[in-house]
Amino acid sequence: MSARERRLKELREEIGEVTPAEANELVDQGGLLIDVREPEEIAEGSPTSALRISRGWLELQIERQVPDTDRTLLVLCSGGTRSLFAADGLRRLGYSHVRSVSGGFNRWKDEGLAFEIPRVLDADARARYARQISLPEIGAEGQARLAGSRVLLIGAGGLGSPAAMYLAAAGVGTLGIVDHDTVDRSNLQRQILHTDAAVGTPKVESARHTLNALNPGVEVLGIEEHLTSDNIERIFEGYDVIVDGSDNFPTRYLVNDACVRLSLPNVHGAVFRFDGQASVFWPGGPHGGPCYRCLYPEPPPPDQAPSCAEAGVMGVLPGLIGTLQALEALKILLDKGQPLVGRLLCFDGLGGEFRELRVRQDPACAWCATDGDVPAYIDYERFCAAG
Amino acid sequence: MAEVTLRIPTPLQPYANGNGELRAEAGYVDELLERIGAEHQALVQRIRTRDGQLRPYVNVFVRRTDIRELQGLETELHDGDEVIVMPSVAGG
Ligand SMILES: [Zn+2]
Repeated sequence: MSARERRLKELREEIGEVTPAEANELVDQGGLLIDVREPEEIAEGSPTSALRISRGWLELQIERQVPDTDRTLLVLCSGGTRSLFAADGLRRLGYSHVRSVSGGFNRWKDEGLAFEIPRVLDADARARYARQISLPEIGAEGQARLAGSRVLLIGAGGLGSPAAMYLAAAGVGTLGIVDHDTVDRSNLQRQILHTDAAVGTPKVESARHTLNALNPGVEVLGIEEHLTSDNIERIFEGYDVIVDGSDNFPTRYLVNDACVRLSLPNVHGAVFRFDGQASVFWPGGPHGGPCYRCLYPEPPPPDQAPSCAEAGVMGVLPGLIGTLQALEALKILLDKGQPLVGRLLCFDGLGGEFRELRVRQDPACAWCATDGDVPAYIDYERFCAAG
Repeated sequence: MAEVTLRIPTPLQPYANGNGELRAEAGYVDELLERIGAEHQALVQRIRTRDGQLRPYVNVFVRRTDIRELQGLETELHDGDEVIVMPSVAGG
């Protein structure tokens, strides 16, 4: 008998084995199944309820994931050998109820027990997102969640540019971009998605080119349309988060009203000269809170809106606000932290001051707060708003 | 009477001779607007209508809270309060 065989025999006796069916039953009684195989193996399938930590990381990560050392842990590998060594490691850490699943995942599958093909990260993704995966709030699971997420950006302009860059860099799987404009040289001072060479080309094309150069793994869908009451619900379909980086009031109100109707989070940002503001409007979400109309029930009439002559913005301002929007979108997708719900974060660029203003749901808001029919979409008159 | 500061964001500064803030003594928000309006009529017209209603695209915050949640234009002011006017902006 080799040293390996002798040790395995000892471990089988010391630790104890259970069949996959028994393990499954113990999970129903509060036990936890831990799949210790490598990511490449898990990519082919893993028990539906399993916690997945590969053998090499097990002792380093288990305490954070399972603080209760009295919990029944059922360790699973492919054939039931590695799981014995892994179970031994857990026992040495102080876990008192550890069993190894005999026959491993192969037998688990053969016995017809539930498994799934998890979303896993390939080698490129593991390298690319290493600094994010190492954050406990994200991890491989959160990263896979981002890969399966869809964010729609309204506008590939001053706010949409930095937002899209960071969302693509962070690994959001699908980015839709609604913009019907072409790149103008005067955009380049702030719209960092576009380059001098892209002047005259559609912004959605230019955006796709830049974003895929940064991260080829992101699917960029260009929607070269004007948002209207007729097309907005069709365009919004299938997205998890809307990032509003539009440059005019009619679009902002359409975006708000559609987000309220569809219960989508509306990650708001707006800039003017040296000032900017950001918030999250998501009355249908888990945090409640106001919609944009609770804050500003109606857009200003043309004669009260800032005139074209006054339009102007320091290019860095949308950079700051757009990246805040990207952060809020990521927090929502990952379900981590406190979103800017019910808070309007205002930045005074010249003063160098952030101020947080409290905003609440207006109990009389016909769009988000009352039980009656939600009013129909409104296509407000388009006039030159400061963009 | 309380000594307060009215903060004016850039979109409205052209109506306040370019000022980013104005100081005044007032007991209530409407009184503050009245006093400011004596010198900066165009500014106050952008905040409320001629019949004294807040405009639906401008908000006023006292102590970081929307005055619609407090007592509206009758919200009382305390010494050192910062009154912030926040019009909606659409730039992107
Ligand atoms: Zn509302």
